[in-house]
Amino acid sequence: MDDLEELLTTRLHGPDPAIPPAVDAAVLGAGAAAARAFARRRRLRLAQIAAAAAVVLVAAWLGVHASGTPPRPFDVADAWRVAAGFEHDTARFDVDGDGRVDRGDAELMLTRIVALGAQGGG
Amino acid sequence: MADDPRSDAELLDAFRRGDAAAFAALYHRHRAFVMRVALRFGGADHDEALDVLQDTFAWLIDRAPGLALRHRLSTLLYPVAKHLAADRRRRRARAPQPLDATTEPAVLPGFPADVRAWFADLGELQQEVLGLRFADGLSLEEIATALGVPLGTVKSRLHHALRQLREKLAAE
Repeated sequence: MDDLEELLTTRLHGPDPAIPPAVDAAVLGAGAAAARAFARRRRLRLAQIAAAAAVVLVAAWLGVHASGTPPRPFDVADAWRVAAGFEHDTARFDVDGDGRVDRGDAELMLTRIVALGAQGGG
Repeated sequence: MADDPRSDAELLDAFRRGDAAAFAALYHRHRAFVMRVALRFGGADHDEALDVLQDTFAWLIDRAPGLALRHRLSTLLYPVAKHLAADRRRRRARAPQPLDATTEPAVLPGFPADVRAWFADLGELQQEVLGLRFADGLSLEEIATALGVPLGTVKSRLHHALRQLREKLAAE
């Protein structure tokens, strides 16, 4: 940095402008309210995915049961594990190939599993 | 408040997942920058700059779910704060003025008086580049993103602006 650039930095940067605590509080309050809304939306989305995953697991269990293979018990924890997979393993669960993992994927999986179950059960 | 070690992109992502502390970290990291931009384009009116600060972060809250960060958040906040401040300045200018009111300077009004004199012969884009570089410390790539112009344009504007300033100051 040469002399002119140092001079410009000194003259242009200056001390940080004063911001009253009330302004900080107003902005941070709005941010906190938005964060709560984002968290609520996220929990709702996870619950929807978990519910869809539970439907898929029930169908899978019914399909396997109908095929004559000994049934594997499932529970809510399984549903949440699948839901987590929906959240983080996009490539694996995007079965309809639309670039999103959503209820449409769960329903397509359900359709396929039921079809497989029907074939296996004869 | 100690700065959060996470990057702007990480903080924005955490905010979208519901982390209020991540938003607070982003705010504390960028509020002075937004105020400087608001003062630079708004004519150094401190109260109006505070309104611009709040409106800029309201914009961030509103748009957070869909934002994609390639550089620091300041590159996204810059055009927002600039336009909000400039709009307010234009509205003020349209309002009836007292007869002895001075006209708005051609150069960015928020710069110090001596700097405005140095910058009088520079174009607005050159002044913006100098402001982002030396007042705000942005990299050339970040300046290009903030202004929405190619990197080569930023480099050439900066080069020519510095050359013009050197000549002007040497002649004084």
